[in-house]
Amino acid sequence: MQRFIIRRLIQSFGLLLAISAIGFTIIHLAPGGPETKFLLDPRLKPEDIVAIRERYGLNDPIPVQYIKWLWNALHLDFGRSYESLYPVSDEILRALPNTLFLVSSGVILGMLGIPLGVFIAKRRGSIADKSVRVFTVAGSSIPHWWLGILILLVTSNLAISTGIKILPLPGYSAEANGNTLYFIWQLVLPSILIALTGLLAYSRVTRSQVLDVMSQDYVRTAKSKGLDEKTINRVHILRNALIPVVTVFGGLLPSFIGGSVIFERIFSLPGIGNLSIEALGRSDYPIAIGVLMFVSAISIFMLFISDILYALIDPRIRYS
Amino acid sequence: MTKEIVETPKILTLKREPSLQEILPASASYTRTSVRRFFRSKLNQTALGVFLVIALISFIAPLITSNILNVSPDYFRASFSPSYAPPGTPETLRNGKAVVHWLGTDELGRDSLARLITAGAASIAIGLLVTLIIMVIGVPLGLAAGYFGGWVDDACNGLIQIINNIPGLYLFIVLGGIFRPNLVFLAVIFGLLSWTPTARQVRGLTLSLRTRDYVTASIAVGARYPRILATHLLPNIISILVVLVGSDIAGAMLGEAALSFLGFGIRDPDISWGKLLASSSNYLTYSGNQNPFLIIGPGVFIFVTILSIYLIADGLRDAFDPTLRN
Repeated sequence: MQRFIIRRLIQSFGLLLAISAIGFTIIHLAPGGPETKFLLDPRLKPEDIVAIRERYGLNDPIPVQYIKWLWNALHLDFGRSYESLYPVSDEILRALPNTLFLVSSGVILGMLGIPLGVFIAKRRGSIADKSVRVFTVAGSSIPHWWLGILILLVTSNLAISTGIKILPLPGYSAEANGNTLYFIWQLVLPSILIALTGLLAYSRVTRSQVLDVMSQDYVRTAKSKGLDEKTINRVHILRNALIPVVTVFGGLLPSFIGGSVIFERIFSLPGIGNLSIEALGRSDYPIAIGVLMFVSAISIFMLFISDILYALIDPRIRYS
Repeated sequence: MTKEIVETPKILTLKREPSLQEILPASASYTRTSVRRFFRSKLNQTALGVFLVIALISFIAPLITSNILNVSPDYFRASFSPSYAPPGTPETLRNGKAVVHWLGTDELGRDSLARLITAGAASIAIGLLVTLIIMVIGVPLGLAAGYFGGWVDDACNGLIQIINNIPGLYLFIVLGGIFRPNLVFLAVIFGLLSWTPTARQVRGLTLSLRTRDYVTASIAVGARYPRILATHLLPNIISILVVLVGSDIAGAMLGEAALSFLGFGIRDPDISWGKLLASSSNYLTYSGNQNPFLIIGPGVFIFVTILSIYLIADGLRDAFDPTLRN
């Protein structure tokens, strides 16, 4: 187990290094840079551009820049934003709580899919089972963010025409700043929408796992030796059925973080997704690579945790 | 209980091994009966019909827009075109033709319906292209990893691990923000990042099929691995592959829509359904916007297309699955 953890750790670091190298190269091949925001200024002379680029160390060859950046990044210094001149880590840490709040409330709400999956597996073929399956197929065919736009369209038109505000309008308003309750209220709809992905995946996997385990020999043995239903459910069925569900979590996390980008965009939430999109629009590359590294690190770490959990839960899995 | 008692003698009876000639016609009719089974279900017929109609309309959209609707999807007359016109607004074009905007117009006064049916081609083409790439990479790698095991398996698993760890959407945003991707570039990157679930599934199936008696027998009579892979393993995973193809097409279409919505997918002047949603949701709360079809239309098209693909894949799986026969 220890060897497995160490090997996985080394793998994770290697992977982060590879992603950083590739991302850094791609981003630095792109046009634009710190001088972009001055380009419309008539007082800007060509030698100024050279001076600005020299100041940011952009005249070095890319490998040299990369080594320098990597060395600083190891000390958690990701450079400064070309646009705001704040340190990249400050900008990211300002946006990160919003994204994490959105993603984690989505993950937690999505876990409601586990009891739902158990419930319908127990009543296989019933109306409840069938309607959940119809809901699952329909739910996976709809882009969830489109549902968000539709709800916004309906509620905002209602608010405009009749003045009834069902949901908070997207975006941060100045007077609501610092109002925690309003902040949470704003995140309700995006959280529910982001949770839909998890709800669908969890209920599907749980259902098929429970059905699979229910047909195993040891469940039949338990029934035939007269154990009561509750014990069989808890000890024999649930424990075994929920093992793969743990890995679903690890696999879903990147898609949750990815999904949060689009919801941040639609609901104008200042998270890291919005931050990176705006940064790319302004050629603010230190921010873009910083966000890419942050997100990679988080998702690699979570996959690492879920792999270890998987090995801990299932005694049949032995990593050597 | 009774079922097992009835079935036991069947296994014990020794039967004459059927000759190749006896098997071949049976397997030929297997496909035919499967297809017949597929078409027996009304749901399957409807799903296939709907998908074919949408695909056909999307790919002959230029003919429809120029001959039936009489308006090009890019046509607008600067300030004279009614922007955000409600459905059913008539307009006289510059060339004197009178047209009706059945689904209204967008923010520049372009015909919504013409743009909707034109946009479908890019969305569906990306779905199909990505799935082709996924199958070309995922199936052989999964088969090889499952069949050969050892270092081949380790190498494949390592590669899958690496790709799974990459936050795809962020990488896409970086790539799409810097290069201006065209449809093929988009599909290739998408495919390269999303073949791993397919490879994993194929690997798992191959792993369990490899130890079956017919594979062992085949090795015993001296068959080489290309033959075993092609004649014993591949046919057995087809029914699962059909479902995977369905969900891959759906996933690619949804992903393309999301990317184009964010502005990192299909670029101007090309349009896809996601792209249409992007431009129409910019003026979501603008009170002069009297055309809800700008938001509803592309979403409904995405929903109906993907739903029909899911249903077709499910129907095909059920029809071709030998364990569900009789």
